[in-house]
Amino acid sequence: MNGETVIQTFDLTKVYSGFMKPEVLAVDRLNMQVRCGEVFGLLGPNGSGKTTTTKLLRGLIFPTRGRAEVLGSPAGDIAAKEKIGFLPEESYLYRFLNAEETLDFYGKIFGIPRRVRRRRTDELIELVGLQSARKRALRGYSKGMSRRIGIAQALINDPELIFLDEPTSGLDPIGRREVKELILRLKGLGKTVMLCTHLLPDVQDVCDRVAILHNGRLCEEGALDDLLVLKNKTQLTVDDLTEKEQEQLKKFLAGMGHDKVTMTHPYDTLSSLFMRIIETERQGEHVREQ
Amino acid sequence: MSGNSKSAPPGRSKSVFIMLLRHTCSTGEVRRLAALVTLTLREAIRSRVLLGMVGLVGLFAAGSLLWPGDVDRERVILVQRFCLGALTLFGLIAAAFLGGSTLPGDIDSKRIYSVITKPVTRLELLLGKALGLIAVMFVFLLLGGLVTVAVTHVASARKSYAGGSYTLEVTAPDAEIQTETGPVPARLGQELVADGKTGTRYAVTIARRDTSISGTIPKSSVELHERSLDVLRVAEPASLSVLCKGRADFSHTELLLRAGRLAQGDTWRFDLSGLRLPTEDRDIDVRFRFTGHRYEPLRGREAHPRPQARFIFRNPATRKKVTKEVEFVFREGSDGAGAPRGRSIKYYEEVFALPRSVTAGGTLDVEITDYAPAYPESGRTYYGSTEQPTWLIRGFDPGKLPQGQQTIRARFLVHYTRGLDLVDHTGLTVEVRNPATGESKDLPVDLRSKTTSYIHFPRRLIDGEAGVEVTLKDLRPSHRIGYKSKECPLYLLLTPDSFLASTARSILLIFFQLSLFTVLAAAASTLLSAPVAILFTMVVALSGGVKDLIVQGLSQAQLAAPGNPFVLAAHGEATLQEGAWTWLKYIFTKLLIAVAPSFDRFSSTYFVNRGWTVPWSAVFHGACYALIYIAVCFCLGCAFLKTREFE
Repeated sequence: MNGETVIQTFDLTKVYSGFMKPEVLAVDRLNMQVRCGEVFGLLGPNGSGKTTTTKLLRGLIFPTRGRAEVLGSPAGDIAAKEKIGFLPEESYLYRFLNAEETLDFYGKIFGIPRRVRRRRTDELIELVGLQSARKRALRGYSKGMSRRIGIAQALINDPELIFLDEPTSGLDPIGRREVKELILRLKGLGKTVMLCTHLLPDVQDVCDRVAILHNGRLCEEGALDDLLVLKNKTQLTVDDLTEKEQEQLKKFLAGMGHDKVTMTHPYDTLSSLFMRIIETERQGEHVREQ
Repeated sequence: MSGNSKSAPPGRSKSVFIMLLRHTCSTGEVRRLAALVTLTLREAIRSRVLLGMVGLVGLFAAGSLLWPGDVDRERVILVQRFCLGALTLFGLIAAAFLGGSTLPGDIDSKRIYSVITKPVTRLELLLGKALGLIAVMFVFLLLGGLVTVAVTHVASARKSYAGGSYTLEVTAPDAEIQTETGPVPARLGQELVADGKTGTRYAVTIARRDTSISGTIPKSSVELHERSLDVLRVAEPASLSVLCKGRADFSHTELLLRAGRLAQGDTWRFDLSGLRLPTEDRDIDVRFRFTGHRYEPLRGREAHPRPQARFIFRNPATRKKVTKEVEFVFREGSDGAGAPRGRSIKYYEEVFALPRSVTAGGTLDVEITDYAPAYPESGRTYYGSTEQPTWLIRGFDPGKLPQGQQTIRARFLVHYTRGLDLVDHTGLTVEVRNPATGESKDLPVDLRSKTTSYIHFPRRLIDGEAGVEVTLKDLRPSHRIGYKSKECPLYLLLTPDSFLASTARSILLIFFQLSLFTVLAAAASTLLSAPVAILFTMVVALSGGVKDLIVQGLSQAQLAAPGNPFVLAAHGEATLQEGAWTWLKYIFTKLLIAVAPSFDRFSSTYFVNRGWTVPWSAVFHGACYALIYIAVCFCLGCAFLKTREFE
């Protein structure tokens, strides 16, 4: 299964038009592939055609020209939809339902038997950390909680392919890390994830391959490692060197003909710092409680 | 092996059925639909729309209890009308708003993204939403119906509900009215007519059941105005006849004799003194006129006979006598002298050419014999219930029965819901029995596609003293069946079934109406925005309610407009082209009328306002009608939704 094409587009084109409205070319002859088991990132600035592409793939809108295949079926096919999970950009859910009812409703939509539905509901609520709010109506949820229940509903059918539109927006750093871990866990289970996000660090953390769109056209597509690696540069990380040792190393490299050498202390990311502090605080609280 | 053949266990067919049912319910489509229906119903409940609707109905219903009303029955019917009206009104508003906004609401809030990306077809989405809204309407009407029944019960519990309101108008200044249960709680002394000649009319209101009236009302005319369907027995008065007062006018060579009403055996004396009759010895036209309403023969049915009489004109002075046998002609219009200006009256008229010798002098006696009215002027009225289909009819005056006939023609009236073509009139059987001899005969009455039917009683079955026993068989509780004899006026009114059952059927009718509007609004919202879809539904609902008026207006405008080329073409006063164009417009109008829905068929008020109960056939017809339109709306909605993009 791994390596098979899950999503493929063939000259996919979408032109928005309307009565007394100018035509807008949203997607222009897009040809791209998403392979099974990978985390694929769809990147691009606002208005580049990312959302239109995902809508075309999900059958919400119809292509003007070209075609798209999802899981071997034409985009929008009912049989294929049974193996797809989707997290919209905002959690557009029924706000009068609570978490349990929401998952139960979507479970019914997938035709999941009641017993399995209940089990999966419990598992997913625990997975996204909403145990304490499982009976609360969604209208009382914060943005982060809404994203969590959105993620849970996207996984209710144990999908093979998951569309995640801005999955980490509105989440705190812990939540973002958890979501990223979840994505990697899904990847580990052999699921294919298609990610649309503006948060490039998130893409860098989890994506195997990316496609970059601009004005509806595909500008770049490939494995993240291939795209990001600077092949004419070498990074050396060593434990703390004294100034004398640094000078000796520079001389040694100059002797080998490498004059442009930069030596500095590497910076940690703010996210890692934040996580480290929170973890330390939590451990302290735990010890005090004991 | 043959001995091992096993018979199917008794529960096998049942278990197969249960397995089949389980299999059907467990299919993905049914589960998805059930999920969408539950979601829609849950949304209506949690957004408190349903509660608000029922609350408003309850408020209206409670308000109707404050309405002043003297009579219990009227109050109960009023409360019922109020409640059913409120159910229809709020249900219609809710159907338009919920149906018109549910799908656009999901699209605008983008909640549809999370549904349509799941394995749900657009057809399933629309069907699930429509069924969910119909379920909302069902729950609303269920709760509203309970409110209606409860409030009606409160209204009926205030006083004895069994009472009815009847007005007895007595045209006699010396009428004595007694009842078996005591004095009639009457409002006497209300002078209704004061022309000085017909006496004073008194209005008597009887507000209790089983109140009967007995007594002598000499020279009076009695009219009973039925206002409800309850039981009232009016005891047989000793004699009932019409008091007629004559009046003579002179106009040129015509003598106009006018009478209020005509009855057999009347003898009138007209005072001719003071009239300047022509001096020439020649015949004088005497125009005899009496007021009355013609009972129009319905299309394709037997026409009523015209009233007949034998007139004997006698001059007391000259002792001259002229006998004329006449068949009156019905006329309508202003008679110039008597009727108010511009007001049309209806009367029967005959012109006699009387010799001068008869009209000369001061007086003219007119004796009328063998009067056979086209329609009974007055009579005894009996009301009964389906529990008492047998009636003993007595008090025949053998002298008033037609002489020399082997049969007596009697007329049956069946009142049913006009306009409902699916009403199945299978007819009924009338058993006529002579109580004295025990002889009886079953007379079939074919009521198919008729409201009126004639049967002929064998003369031998009617006894002058013992009367005749009439039993109505094969009664349909949803029909009001009346019997009226021509010569012996009699009217039996059989009460329909219970008030509660009728209310339930009314609510069922409203349910079909609201279901249609809900699906119409939902289908419209697949193409239009929510406000436009709501407006569209409201306009269709209101215009469908007055379709008959529109139809009448269109028909009149098309066909009866002055100078209409169609009419002119028919008279050769227009060209063929003009005529053809008018025909085209006419056909287009007719097509438009045929296609436009008529929601009168659903309207329970159509029945309730007439004091009728809603028959099952009307419910069935309403259901068929609604289902056809729902199917059409749904197909159109699916077609629109299938091509719609969710941007």
